[in-house]
Amino acid sequence: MLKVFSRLKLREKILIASIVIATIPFIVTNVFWYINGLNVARDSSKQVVQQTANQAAQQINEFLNTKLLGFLSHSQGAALVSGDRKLIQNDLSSFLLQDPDITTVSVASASGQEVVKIDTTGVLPTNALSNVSATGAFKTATFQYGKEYIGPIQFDKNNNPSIIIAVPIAYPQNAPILQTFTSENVIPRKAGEITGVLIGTVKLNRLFENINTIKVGESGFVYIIDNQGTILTHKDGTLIGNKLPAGNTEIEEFLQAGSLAQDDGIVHETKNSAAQDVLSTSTLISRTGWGVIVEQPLSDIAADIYQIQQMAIPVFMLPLIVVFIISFIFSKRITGPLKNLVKAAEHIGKGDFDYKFSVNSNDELGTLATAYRQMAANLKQSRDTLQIERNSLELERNTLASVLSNIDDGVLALDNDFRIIFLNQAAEDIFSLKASDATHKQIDTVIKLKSEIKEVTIASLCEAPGSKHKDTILTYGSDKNDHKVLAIRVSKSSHVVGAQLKYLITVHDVTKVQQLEEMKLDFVSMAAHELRTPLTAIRGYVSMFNDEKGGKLTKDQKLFISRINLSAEHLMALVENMLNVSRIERGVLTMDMRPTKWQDVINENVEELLNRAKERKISISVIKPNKQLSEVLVDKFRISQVVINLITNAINYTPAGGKVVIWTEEKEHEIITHIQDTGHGIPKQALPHLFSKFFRVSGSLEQGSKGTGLGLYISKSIVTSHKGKIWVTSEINKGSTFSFSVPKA
Amino acid sequence: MSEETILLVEDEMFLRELYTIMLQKGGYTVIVAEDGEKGLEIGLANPHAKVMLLDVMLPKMHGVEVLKNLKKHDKTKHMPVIMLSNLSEESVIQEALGIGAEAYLVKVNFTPQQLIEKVKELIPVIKTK
Repeated sequence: MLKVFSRLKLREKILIASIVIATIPFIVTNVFWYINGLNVARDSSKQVVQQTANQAAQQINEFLNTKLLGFLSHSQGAALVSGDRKLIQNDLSSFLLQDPDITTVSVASASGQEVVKIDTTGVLPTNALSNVSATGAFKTATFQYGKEYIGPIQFDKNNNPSIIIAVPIAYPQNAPILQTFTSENVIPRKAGEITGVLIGTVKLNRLFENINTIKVGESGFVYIIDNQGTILTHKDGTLIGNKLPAGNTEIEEFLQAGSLAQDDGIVHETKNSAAQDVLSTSTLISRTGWGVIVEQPLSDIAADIYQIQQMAIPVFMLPLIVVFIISFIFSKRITGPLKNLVKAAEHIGKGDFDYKFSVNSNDELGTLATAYRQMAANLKQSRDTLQIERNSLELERNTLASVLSNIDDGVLALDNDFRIIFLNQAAEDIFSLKASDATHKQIDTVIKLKSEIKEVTIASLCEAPGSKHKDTILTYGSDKNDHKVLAIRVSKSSHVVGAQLKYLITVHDVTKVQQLEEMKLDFVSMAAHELRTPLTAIRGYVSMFNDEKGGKLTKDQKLFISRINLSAEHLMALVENMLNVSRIERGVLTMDMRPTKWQDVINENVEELLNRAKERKISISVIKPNKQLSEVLVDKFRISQVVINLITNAINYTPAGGKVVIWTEEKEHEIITHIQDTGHGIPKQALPHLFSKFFRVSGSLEQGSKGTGLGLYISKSIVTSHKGKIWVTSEINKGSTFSFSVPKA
Repeated sequence: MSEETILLVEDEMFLRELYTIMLQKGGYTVIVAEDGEKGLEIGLANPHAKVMLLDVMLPKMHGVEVLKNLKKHDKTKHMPVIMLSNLSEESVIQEALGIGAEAYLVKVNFTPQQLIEKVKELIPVIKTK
């Protein structure tokens, strides 16, 4: 229901609402009226019923009183009291003439013998007279001390109802002749005083016709029953003389009591003998014991109210129509501007901010229309401003995008959760990705990088403390022949306020560089190996002179041969160093770490170099530690190269007569070895580069020393492979001290 | 006499002759081959030779291949082989030793005299195995 209502248009809603509002009082009042009206009508009907009953009873009582008073006035009149026959005849004749309801009248003596009898035809003959001493009328009038007798209803052959009235004839001594009679001022008589009885027959036709014509409401009526329930008079003449079928509780109550004295004067709602719902009451006529019954069907009352309601409908219809018309006009006045507003909203919604519309209303709708216009104006302004900003932003973005896409290096932007926000063309190419597939994905689910064999996540690179602004070399792609070598650099965005961008990854494809580097190293390695073979031959043949033919050579020849040998050895040292560098660079310099006695390593190597030192007139000494040194964990062969290299350098760069001192220092986890010379010293500016590849202290060549510029580089690599450190302190013209550490076992 | 035979496989003529001279001086009969295939031939022809000195970088057949083939044949699988090379790649050395070479000597580190001494030094060690 509500759903249906909500689908209606505003105008229809207003109309329906107005009609409902206008109809509600109509319905409510009608219902109220009906219920209340029924009660009111019932109550007033009850009153009417009671009044009618009272009126009918009064009519009957008046009738009877009048008749009785007529009888009493004649019975106490002088004519009848005198007992004179002639006088009685005259009096009765006039009585009969005065009252058309009286059909016969007679006077009986105290013994009950009728003296005179008159009917409407005149005085009856003597033979028509009879003794009435046995009748109820006579007895009541005489023995009951003058109680007026009103007999039961009799019906003649024409069904005319009549009653017998009998009153005693008496004239008390000393009593005034009564001019007027009431039931109250009738003088009580004594037995001796009664001289006769006046008896008459009174027709009830006129009375009953009156009663029958009484109407109550639409179809209510009055009827009379006797104390046996026999109907005495009724508008339906056929019912007269019959007993009523049971039904009317009012009558039943009345009959049960056996007397109308029980009448409570209340109008009852009951059913009548025809089983109709009726309002009914009964009133007792005490002189005769009759019951006056009034019945009014309840349907009468409902009919009345219905009639009133029928009359009320147009009264209510009028405002309804008025309301309908008003709301029709009113709704049009509301929906009209609203339609304009809706149309305006549609135009504004589509961006037509210049749409012109009018709302002729000074109410809220008018205000709304003004607000609409204002809104459209503001929107237009905002849109224009935004458009300008967007254009400049777009330009900026295009510039940025073209910069990024033209960079050869891959650039990826990540958010806080390492999801890809952006990647440029180069990054797409490097990782064979499409930007549309990769964006918003966690970078490590899309790009799998490896360091040698183990996987490395970019997330871990971003988190690693030392990785910022430093290249990390990783491989991409599982295929050994087709993988890429990438230099990856992570930088953390410092402008994180509001922006998603957290990390910026730059990827430089160093595959080709790496390949070239490898080719170079392979070439160096290959060349060095190839150089070894002729060197071996040279050394081998030269050595032949030393064993046997040496003696046959001249002094000069011996010198030349020894120079050939020395040159060959120098060449060999160069080749060996190149091979070592190539191994270091390729990462194939393997270390065979074993616990070793450090003092032995020092001593053995110094021993080997003693001759050379002697040749150069340099004293070499090893300071023994205070206590025995702990074992160290070293590759004895490789670390010996370091010891030899450093001592050889010390010897080579120290002028004749100089000193080389070697001592050790034991720390908690390592042993430090110092090699101190009294040489030229190393210039300060050369110190930072001393351990670099192919670095030579300027001027050292001129000093005639022979070096490859690789010794210290190799030494540093070996020491580093031992997780040790190597360093130097030097003072020009005083000498240098080289120191390195090796780990304890 | 065959017990004193030493097989020498070396492609470099000067070295081959130098080593031959030195070995003969040391009292050995030397049978030489100048490439890998011939080296395998002389190996199979002289299974009872005292030792084979086998170069690695050989034409026609790589020294390591020659070694593998010798170790495959029943009659030569117990013949001691000493690798003699200027190739000092750790991976090659380990491979050769893994296949069953008795030693791997880097030629440039030894004068011919030292080399012969080293061979002589190694032979008794081999015998005791």
